[in-house]
Amino acid sequence: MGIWYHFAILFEALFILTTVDAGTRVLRFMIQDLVGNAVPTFKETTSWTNNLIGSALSVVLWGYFLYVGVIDPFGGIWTLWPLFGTANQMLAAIALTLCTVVLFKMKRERFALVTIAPATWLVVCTTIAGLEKVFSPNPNVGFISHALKYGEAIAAGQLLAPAKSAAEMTRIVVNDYIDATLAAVFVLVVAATVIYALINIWKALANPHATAVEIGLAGAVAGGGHA
Amino acid sequence: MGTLVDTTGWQTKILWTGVALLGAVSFGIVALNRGEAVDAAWLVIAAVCIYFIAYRFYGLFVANRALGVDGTRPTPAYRHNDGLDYVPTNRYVLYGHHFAAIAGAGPLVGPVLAAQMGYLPGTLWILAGAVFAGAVQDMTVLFLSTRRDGRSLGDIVRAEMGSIAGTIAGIGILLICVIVLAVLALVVVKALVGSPWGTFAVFCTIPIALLMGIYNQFIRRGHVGEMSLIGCVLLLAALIYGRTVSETPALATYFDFKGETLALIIIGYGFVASVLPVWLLLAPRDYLSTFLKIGTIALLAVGIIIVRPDLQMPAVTKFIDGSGPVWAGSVFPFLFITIACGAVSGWHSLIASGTTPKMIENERQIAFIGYGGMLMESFVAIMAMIGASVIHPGVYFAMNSSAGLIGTTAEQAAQVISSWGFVVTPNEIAQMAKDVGKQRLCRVPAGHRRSPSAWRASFRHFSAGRH
Repeated sequence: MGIWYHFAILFEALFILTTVDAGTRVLRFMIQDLVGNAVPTFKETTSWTNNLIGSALSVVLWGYFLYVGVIDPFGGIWTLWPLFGTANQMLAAIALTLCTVVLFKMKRERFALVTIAPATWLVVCTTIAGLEKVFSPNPNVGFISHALKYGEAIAAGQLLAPAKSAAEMTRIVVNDYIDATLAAVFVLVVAATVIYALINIWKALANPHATAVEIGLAGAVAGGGHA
Repeated sequence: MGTLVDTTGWQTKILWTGVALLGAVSFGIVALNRGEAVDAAWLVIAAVCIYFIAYRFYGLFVANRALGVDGTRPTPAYRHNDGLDYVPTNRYVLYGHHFAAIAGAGPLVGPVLAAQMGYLPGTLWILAGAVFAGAVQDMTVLFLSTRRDGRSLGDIVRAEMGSIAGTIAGIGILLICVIVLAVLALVVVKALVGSPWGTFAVFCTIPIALLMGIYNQFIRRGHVGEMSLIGCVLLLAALIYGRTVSETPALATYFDFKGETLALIIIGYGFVASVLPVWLLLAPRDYLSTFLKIGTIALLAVGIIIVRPDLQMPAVTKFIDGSGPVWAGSVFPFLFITIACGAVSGWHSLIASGTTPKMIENERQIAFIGYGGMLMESFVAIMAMIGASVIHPGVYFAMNSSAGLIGTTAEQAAQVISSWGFVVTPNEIAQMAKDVGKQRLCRVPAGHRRSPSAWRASFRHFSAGRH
């Protein structure tokens, strides 16, 4: 059995580590694109300076939360952990909404149901989940009711698991409020994306021509620049 | 790979009709059976048939008709080929990279947690979600980014929906990406702490990947088969030799790290993997890992079809009301949040607008890599669901419930879990704790024996903190 157990450990670590390394690179691209809107030269991925700065920023961002989480059971990533599932699915909702907008802008709206259906499902699902995470009266689900429950225990001088001291009790309450705030922010980000999507779909329907912003035309010579 | 067999021939029609019938019958057995235990092999067969049909009749339809992929259009990998980020990459190597990058902890952890509601709700979502949501998302985003120089998701939102929407979404996406990466890295740290065997083998994948990258780029350019064989043999050797390392104290100390050190090593590795040219480390390492992953999952699937274990977990348990001991929350919406990667996951859209579109050789490969990659991941999730459902439900709940609910001794746990209707004896729980403890002892120095609650904690490191 020993070998299977270690195989499982290896399997798990390998499975996830390949996501972390590719993800770091992806985060670098994202930072380069985002900062690049203010400093256009930073977008250039062939520059080693940009590469090094972008990569360093990328690992510092997630590495900070990781390292603090490893040395402190209530800090760093442990604060954000409860948001993981909902936030990830909200990202899918945003991505599928974008896909829908682009299908309309390509004037391919007759096929748009292939992304409208899953986008709608995810927007509804994640918005309800996000709101429940914030407002549910069940302290096992809602951040605010969880914070209130721990707040009452603090007032009564009690300790609730997993806290082992009054200081940890306070930190759990603070974490709950951070999570509640971020969950609400994510719900608003999804809502804003949907509103802008509807506006852009409306514009695309009113325009008789395809308006999608594609780069590099069919049959173009390799190495073509920005269109 | 985007193009498939000619469908006009009668042989092909018979073949696909056969696959459809087999899938429908298997699925009917899994979904409609009540009262009797269902053979897990039916679930494997049903899933595989559904994936083939979904790829052939829905995935290719979306790619060719809805998106209109164009094989004559030069991809960013050729237009910007810089030997660093934009590198035309063999489609199988790229499939390996893409699959490895999208498959994080999710396809394994989500279904195991979701099994508390019974195997059916989770299975239905994994299959339907992957076919109609997850695979469509991955493929469509890959298509969008491939047509836009491989730009990131936030940047595409900005270009297509305006700068305000782009900024809002861009910051949200960045935050989510940081959370996901830190969570995943933490799971790796937790898995490798005090495991010289696992740590050694994982470390070995780095030089092996470098060797594979150099081999394919300089020594025997384009001979992907040879490169794969070399990598595969070396990887297995590392896995087997890892045992010797863990059993030799002089060697084991080099690979036995504390959490802090491991965290710093992983951070350093992430930096290097992000800086180095993509063909040198990242793509071959991901490709190499995919071998191990797909190989293991395929062997498991074959094993299930041969052994034919029963699904012991009921199709639906009473915990669909949201009172489950593993995690709290009702079927809607929380089942659809808990099972992410196996059905649909936002993370994938970041990979599909990150590394993959900068390496794809031709738009016609978008369906194989985007849609096909997701189906493979969904299959991993199905296997995890089977894994959680073929064990005794009482043991499943003992392993996954929080100590606050079921107590810290085998007697208490057995009593509480039996009261939920999953009869289990203290002996069964104690025996399993002992088996796991024994394996733990292989690598835990004497004097560090774990308490019953600690082994449970070690199983629960994924679900910890989930409300």
